[in-house]
Amino acid sequence: MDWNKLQRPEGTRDYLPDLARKKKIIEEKVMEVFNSWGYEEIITPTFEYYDILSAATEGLHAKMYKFFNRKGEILALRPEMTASIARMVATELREKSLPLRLAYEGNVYRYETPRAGRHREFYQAGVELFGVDNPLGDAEVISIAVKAVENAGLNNFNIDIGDVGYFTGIMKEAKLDEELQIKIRHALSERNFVELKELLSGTDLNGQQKKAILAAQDLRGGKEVIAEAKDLVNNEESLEALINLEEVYKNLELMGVADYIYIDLSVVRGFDYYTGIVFEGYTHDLGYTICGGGRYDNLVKKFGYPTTATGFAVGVDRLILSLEKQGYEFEMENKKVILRLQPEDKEKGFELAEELRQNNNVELELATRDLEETIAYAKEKKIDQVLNLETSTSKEDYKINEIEIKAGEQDG
Amino acid sequence: MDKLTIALPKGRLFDPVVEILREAGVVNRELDDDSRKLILEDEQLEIDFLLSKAVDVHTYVEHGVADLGVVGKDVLLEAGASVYEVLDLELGSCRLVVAIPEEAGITSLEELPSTGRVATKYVNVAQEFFDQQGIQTEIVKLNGSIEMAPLVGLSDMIVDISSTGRTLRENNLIEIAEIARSSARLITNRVSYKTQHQRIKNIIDDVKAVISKQ
Repeated sequence: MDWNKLQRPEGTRDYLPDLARKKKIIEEKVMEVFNSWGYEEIITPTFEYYDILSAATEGLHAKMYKFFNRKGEILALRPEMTASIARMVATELREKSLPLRLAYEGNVYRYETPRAGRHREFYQAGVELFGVDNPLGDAEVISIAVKAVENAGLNNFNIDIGDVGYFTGIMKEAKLDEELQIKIRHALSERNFVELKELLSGTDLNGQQKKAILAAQDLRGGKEVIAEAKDLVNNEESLEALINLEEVYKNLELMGVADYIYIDLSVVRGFDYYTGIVFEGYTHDLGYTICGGGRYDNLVKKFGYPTTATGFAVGVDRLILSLEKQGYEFEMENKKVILRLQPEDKEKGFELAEELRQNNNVELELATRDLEETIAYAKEKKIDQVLNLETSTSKEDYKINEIEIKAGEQDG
Repeated sequence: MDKLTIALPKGRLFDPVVEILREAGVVNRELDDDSRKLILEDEQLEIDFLLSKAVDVHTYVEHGVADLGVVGKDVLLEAGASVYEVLDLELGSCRLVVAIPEEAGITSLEELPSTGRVATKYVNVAQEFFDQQGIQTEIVKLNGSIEMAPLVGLSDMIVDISSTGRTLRENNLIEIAEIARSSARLITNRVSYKTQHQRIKNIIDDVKAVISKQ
């Protein structure tokens, strides 16, 4: 085999046992929180018709892995989960009573330049809440985001919430054309204040409106920010957005998670399908966000079923990375044991191994080798204990030689 | 207080950038881009300075190993980096332009044939620009002396930065289109902007005040 072909494709990775175990632990802890709020796990296909996936993700068209089936139809690997779930809600779950509370975890694919914290295949976990269009629904989803990240063990994190309605209101009031609105929103989401200023200077926005948009970069903090913002706008949509934000924040206070929350009006997120509340979570230890979400009331409608939705996703890989940086101690596995036995003691040995497996991870020594070699193997594999079942005269008369392998003794 | 890390571009922009930062009270020690030491600490202000090649600044900032950085807009455009561009330092102004040999007798984009070969350091910027114009081009990547390419027949035209236009003139090239304007920008990491908001905000404000005085 050509050496080059033995490499992983760029942007993918192998989860070796240690990492795979951490991933499992994190996913379980996150799902535990989702379930505890009444969200039920669903699983959707890894690939879908391209049309479905592209309906949700304006910014991801060029980043999807696309291919044809034998009928010549275009399929794509999912770049995120929301589109698939929205499709499921608009079809199979259509007759079910609202609200629908759905949870997921799985791998998603994006053709991006691999960079820090960015892979071409990565894992997401999240929830979607359908059929609730009030601030309490938004607060529930944000609260779950906090609880999930907290339950995973991270303590050094915050979530910033904003509302895209604040800006949409201002831009609509000034009757800016769609294209310019998208550009402004893009500059906002990139916090490209230089471009933002340039864009605004060429528009019909009046001085007050410009000020209200540019001020967003400073509107960051506790709930007092909302009051400040209210003084900057006088169109209905912006004000409604701020009142909604206020309600969400109040609910978050009552839910006991407000300590993690900042109001930040400049959060608008990259995707252009968000219609209301948007939020993103980050930790001091990592240079990029770990979770994000918001309200997207127009998506399911595109699939022929008008219903509202709020959701969020957390990047499992990024969460693991944050936890490692925080020095988090992942749960210990069971004690690891290797059992040596002689061919004539198989019956006793197997019975003993079965017993030990109640609370230990027991491997049988399958190789024929000296005790010294087994010990060396155990050290390398970080096995805690070698059990040497010594030759016995009868089934009842046996002797186990216990050899503890101390941590840190792994010598080369 | 957490330490703040600022990546600075060695070379052309270094001295004027340090000058502005000094006036804004961000730099309070000797900084020399000839220094062999690449990480310079200011323990009093709790700031580390990374001396980086200009085209690498955004990489340090994007990965979050630097919280702030200064980089040319031309570099940012080419790299498509995920960083926040928070302030125009109005330094090192130049323009990204399309230039073609005078003898071709072409003075505007519309007169260009529908296909052509372009030499440039800015392959992504050039590709995107010509795609938008509907002009089919083949891009040749060069790392320097771009002006030479059309003279020796390597390309029909070039995309490069021009500040005074002198280099273009000396090589008998004329500008036929402007792609973008560039100058030094203050950038921040996306998360640092949140976690160190107050401190970064103060720096932005102080630097802004210095620039508006000039």
